Amino acid sequence: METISYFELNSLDIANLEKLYNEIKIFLKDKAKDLAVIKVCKVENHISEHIKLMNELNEKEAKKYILIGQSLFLTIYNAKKIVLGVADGYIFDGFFEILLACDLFFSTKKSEFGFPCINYGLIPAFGSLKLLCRGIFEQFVKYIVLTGAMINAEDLYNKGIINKLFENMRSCQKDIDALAKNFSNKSKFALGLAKESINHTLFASLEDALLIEQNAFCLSFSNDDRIEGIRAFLEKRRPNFKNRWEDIYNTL
Amino acid sequence: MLTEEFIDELYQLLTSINDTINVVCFYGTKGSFAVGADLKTLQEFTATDAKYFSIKGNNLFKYIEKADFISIAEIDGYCMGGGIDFAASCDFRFATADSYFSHPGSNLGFITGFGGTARLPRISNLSFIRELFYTGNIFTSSDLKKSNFLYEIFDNYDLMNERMRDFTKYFINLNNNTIREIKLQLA
Repeated sequence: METISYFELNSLDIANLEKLYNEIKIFLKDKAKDLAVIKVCKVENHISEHIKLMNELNEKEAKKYILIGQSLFLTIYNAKKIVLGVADGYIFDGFFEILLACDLFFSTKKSEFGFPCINYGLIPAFGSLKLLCRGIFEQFVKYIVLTGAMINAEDLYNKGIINKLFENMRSCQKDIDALAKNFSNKSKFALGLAKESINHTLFASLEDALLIEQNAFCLSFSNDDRIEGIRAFLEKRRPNFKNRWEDIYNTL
Repeated sequence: MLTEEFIDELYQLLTSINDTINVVCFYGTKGSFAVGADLKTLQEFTATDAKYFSIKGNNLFKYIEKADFISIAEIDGYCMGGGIDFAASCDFRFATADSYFSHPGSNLGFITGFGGTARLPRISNLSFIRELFYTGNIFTSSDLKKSNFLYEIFDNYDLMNERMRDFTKYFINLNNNTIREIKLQLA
């Protein structure tokens, strides 16, 4: 059974951001889906459409735009399921930010990334900057944000932001399928806990980070997946994991 | 293997030599650096046992991290789960090219409890660390070198050992207070 949900982010207008936000929320509640893939394919010409869109926002709409952008960013970042971002082309501003919220990041080799919004008087505000500064050197982040310079995919791969590079979108499908297959044999509960720990420990002091992980480790000892996982390993068979985050979140 | 007895023994040994030596090199035997906790023991753990075990491990690794000596992990062979967390608490990590690394928790239904999710993103590339924890796949020394986890890699153990003799010479005349101060400043 296909366990991947595919999404495409084509435009950053409010309606489109809301649509993706709602679709991601449905994905998070769907027990049959374990991996979300957000594809962003842009070309340089799209930037003029985007600037036009930004220009037409009044103050109230701008507030709404940023709120829905941040909500989408945080929903992806805080989700207990794994979200993969896949980029192809000229990836700018909010498109780049949404990909940075993802857990894993694939890209075509020819892609470029940046925040040209500084050139038209705006700054990135969906929430990616704090994350970027923790992932890579602050000076590098300042450079790309302040200059608006576009960075090629290989640079981001070397900085550890992108996980894998591909010749084209078709050639990365095999790796997306392999990732979904890999996750299908995993404890979804442990995956969510690992994501929660890594993402939260990034913003904590080392002392607090260790405590967050310690308690997450203990939580994994309070459910059936760990008993099944270790037993299956010792019996040299494939585990049959059952604990799911949806059982908690869908009832909230 | 990182059993409770081993953790206790190593903690006692290290606290007794602190202040008296400048460099501690950790290495494994039988083709591995450290392979994490004993799964048969973990299978029987309650959440409270897990907390106790995690505190013990964390105490040891925090001690190594803040100790008055310079700590070096010499990895030759398998380095799994808590073994990676152990190496992450050291000041330097060296490995032979023929070493393999994995954090298999998500395959087994739990996550690490020895500081890996806290320390690894601070010393290595974040996207790689996510891949390591989420996929549970086995990675090579060159993957770990590229992600900044390893300081240097060597073709074989003898070459690593030879380099270690030279490398540790730099630290022989350091004062323990100086080591502590530098560690504090870098933390």
